[in-house]
Amino acid sequence: MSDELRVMMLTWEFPPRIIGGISPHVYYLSRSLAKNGVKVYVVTCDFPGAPAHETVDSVEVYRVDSYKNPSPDFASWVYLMNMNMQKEAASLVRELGGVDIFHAHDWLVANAGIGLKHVFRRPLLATVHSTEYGRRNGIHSDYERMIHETEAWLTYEAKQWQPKAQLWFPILVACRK
Amino acid sequence: MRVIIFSWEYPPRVVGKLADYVKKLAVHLARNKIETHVITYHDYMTGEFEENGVKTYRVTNPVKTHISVLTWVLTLNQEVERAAANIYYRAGGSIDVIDVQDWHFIPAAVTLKKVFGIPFVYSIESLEDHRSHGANSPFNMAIKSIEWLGMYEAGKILVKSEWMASEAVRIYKVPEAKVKVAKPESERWLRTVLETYKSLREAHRSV
Repeated sequence: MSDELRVMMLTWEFPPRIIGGISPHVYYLSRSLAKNGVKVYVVTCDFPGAPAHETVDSVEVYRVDSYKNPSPDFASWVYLMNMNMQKEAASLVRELGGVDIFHAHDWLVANAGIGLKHVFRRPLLATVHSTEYGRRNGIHSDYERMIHETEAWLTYEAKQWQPKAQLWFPILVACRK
Repeated sequence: MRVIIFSWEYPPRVVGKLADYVKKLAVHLARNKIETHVITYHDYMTGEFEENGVKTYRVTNPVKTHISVLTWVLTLNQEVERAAANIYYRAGGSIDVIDVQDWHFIPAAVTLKKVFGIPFVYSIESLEDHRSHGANSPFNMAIKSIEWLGMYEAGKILVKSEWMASEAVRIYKVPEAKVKVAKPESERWLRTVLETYKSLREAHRSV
């Protein structure tokens, strides 16, 4: 089993926590990968009633405490949640004896994915589900620009990144400027 | 012994009193044959430098626009992790202690502890409760929660006065035995710091 591919998937939502499209996407992606013989570890935010660790169709799902720190606003919550997710994921990778790839979904897990890449020196893959530029129809404030730049940081640090659908290409090209 | 110091200010970047203190500490450690690395921040003067026997590694923030010092710090930590991991791998995986100055790079120190098992000292220059005069908005509470994480995960806490030792115990309910007082003006200052580093190294080795 030594040549088994081990992927750690980072996502801020995974069923039963469903906020948008990332949750079903990661759910089907990780199950499909598992069916194809890939060992997938999903690290995600906790949800009332959902266990801290469970196995879903041979996908290992780990939920971390995402409301550990008081936060003044959503973006600060995201960064603080990442601090915690990275800490928990780091311990998990060490227990597992390593993984081959980190796969981050959107800027919501950028910090954790990038930090794990740096310390474990394994490639980071990023899927871009949506962009701040697209969600807000442009960048209008420092708050939005900070998120926009975090997205740029994620795509820079990722060895490879992919838009979720072809549709995003014109927006990505437009916001690259 | 190989030590990495994390500090958000280090000359020529001087914000408050911490920069000069950390410089004094790093230079004294290097003179005492401790391999001393400092990881710090600078807007543009990035990269590695050798200054007075101290190896400094300056990183900049990959995200330029920020809404607060909190978000600024939380995206800078990954660069500190990158620099520390570079030192770690180059040194063949042997870093004895990390000394974190104040709260800014506690997230990085905690991750490095979890990944490589490197113990860390949390050195307190000031606490959010005093800086914010007791304000407890979500912003202040977020910083306090990071200070709390540092108090909890650190192997030892270094303070510069008996008053600060009692404040750490009062605010964060830290066991008194975990806090060591090293007064920078005292003759015993450097010896206390070194004893603290060594005690962490020994405790870590015996695990």
